[in-house]
Amino acid sequence: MSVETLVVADGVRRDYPSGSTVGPVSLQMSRGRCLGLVGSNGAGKTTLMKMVVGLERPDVGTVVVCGRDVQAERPVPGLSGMIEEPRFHPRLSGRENLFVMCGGDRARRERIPELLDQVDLAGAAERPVGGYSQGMRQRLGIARVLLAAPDVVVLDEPTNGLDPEGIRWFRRLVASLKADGRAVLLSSHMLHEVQASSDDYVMLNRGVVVAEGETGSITGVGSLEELYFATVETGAAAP
Amino acid sequence: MIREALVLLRRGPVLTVSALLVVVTAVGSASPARAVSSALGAAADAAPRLLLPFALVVALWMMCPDTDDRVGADRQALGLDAVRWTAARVVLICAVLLVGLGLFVVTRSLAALLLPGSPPSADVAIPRLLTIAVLSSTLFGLWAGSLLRGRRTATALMVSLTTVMITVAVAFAPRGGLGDLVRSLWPVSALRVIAGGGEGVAPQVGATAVASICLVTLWAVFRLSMSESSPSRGTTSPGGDGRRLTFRSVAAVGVAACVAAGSVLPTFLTRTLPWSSRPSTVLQQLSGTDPAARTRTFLEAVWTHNTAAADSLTAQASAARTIGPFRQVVGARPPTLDVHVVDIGSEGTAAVVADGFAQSVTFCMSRRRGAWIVESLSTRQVCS
Repeated sequence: MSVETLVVADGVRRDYPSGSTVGPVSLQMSRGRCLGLVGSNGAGKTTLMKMVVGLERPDVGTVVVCGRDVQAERPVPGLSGMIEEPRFHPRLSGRENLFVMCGGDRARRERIPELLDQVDLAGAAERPVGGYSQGMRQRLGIARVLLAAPDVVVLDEPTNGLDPEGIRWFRRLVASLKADGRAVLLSSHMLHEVQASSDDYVMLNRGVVVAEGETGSITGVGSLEELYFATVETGAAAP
Repeated sequence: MIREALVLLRRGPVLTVSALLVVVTAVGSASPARAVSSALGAAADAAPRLLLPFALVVALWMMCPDTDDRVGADRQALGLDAVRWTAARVVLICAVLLVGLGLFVVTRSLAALLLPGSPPSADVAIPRLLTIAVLSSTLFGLWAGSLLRGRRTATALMVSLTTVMITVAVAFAPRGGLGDLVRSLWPVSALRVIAGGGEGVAPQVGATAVASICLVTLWAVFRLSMSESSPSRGTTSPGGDGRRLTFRSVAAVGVAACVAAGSVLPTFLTRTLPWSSRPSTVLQQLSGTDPAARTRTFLEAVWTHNTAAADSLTAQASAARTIGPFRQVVGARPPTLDVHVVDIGSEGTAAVVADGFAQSVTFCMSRRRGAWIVESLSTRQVCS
């Protein structure tokens, strides 16, 4: 593994009793780059992300993050993610919800004010999370992921519930994370957002990779969205 | 970590539960005293020893929202160490135990304030009430918790059905002893008390049970509000986690249905189901311990002059005194004898008619220590 490669998923596959399968999928993520996962509902994006953060054990293959096997060594330092919608204690304030997820780490606690600023929740930090909008909870969830100052950030549908301003804010956030040298793995149904934020993409359909590459190299069809429909609807593999 | 655990205490239920337990015990202490079953008395005697373990169970129950697997998944995804989190939970439990001990002291003081100059009744003391409160809260909490924390609708429905069946069975269980204790502590007994079908449950027990239901309802609402704060969005993973919100709605309805069914069914069945169809009667007939069989056994003992056996089958411990003026009527074996039950009351009484003697005789039976015995004899077909 090169020093710049932070995540290596090698032929991971997850089989379900229902008969559905996700994988085999192989992917690599490098420092300072963002990888976007795209695909329809049930394509396997969330399952793949769960395997990357160690929430699901692949039946076949391995995931190595920052040089450590995520199934053998949990938690893996430098890895943090938000899978599906974040869950909070509704009676606690935003600040308190971040506080109880610090794991006793002083550095994390000291990062809370800065992160609340970063996700634009400083003004609502003392309000109970039960009164937050979905977009605010998404922002708080992202702040919680960043508490650990991770090298690898995994975000599952992070733009859900964000308004246009929030989406623009998210683009800036991903850009700053990349600028800080972090690797970002994100999934979204909003293909243009993935194209705008990601350097690389992996397109899944029914659990298998149907296309992958650099978003900058998407030519001919023009956009990731057009590529998606051209690939998935025709059942053809992308070039 | 300790500071984080202390922040977690502010989530709500811990303080709510503590406050409600204070109210429960205070209400119980102020209620008019009445005799409770001997088994309950024994439990009360053991209360000081039971208090700590039950407080521990309640503390664990209160931890349920924090041990939710989705919160655990969030923690794991965030790279937090599970061992350190367990340590934080232990700290929280210790804090809750301290609150519980403080509560014990507070309730004693409250009772003294509420009943100045008259200590709590000799037969229903504070430890007993506290035991009932803690026991019923725990049982109801565990039961509702199993419904709300289950992962499949089928499981929830099975638990609901089992609960209702046991509730019905308990309603027909023999009076006294363990039966009363079970009746007192069974989660849905509270609404039966409200509906007037107290079935021998002391008022204090009813008060504590009602408070338990209020407590668990609050807890259920809290649980549901937590799930609302993290709405499932129909996750697309093949694992099928998207059913959770739907399940919680079903579970909430299940809890409500169980409480309603448990409060209505026993009373309804007691009033409508003929005594001959009651499961307890059928079981007694099958095992030869029903009132008619016991009457035959009693008469057989009288006719064979087996005094000891005959005496043991009477409430007065004396067959001679029980039979009294009917000595001439029932003293000799008739050529044919038809013994049949004409009524079994809901309070452990039965009327058995024996035809074949010079005149028809009704044996008034009562159920004591799990067996039917002869209370008195009558020429009328009813027992007062």
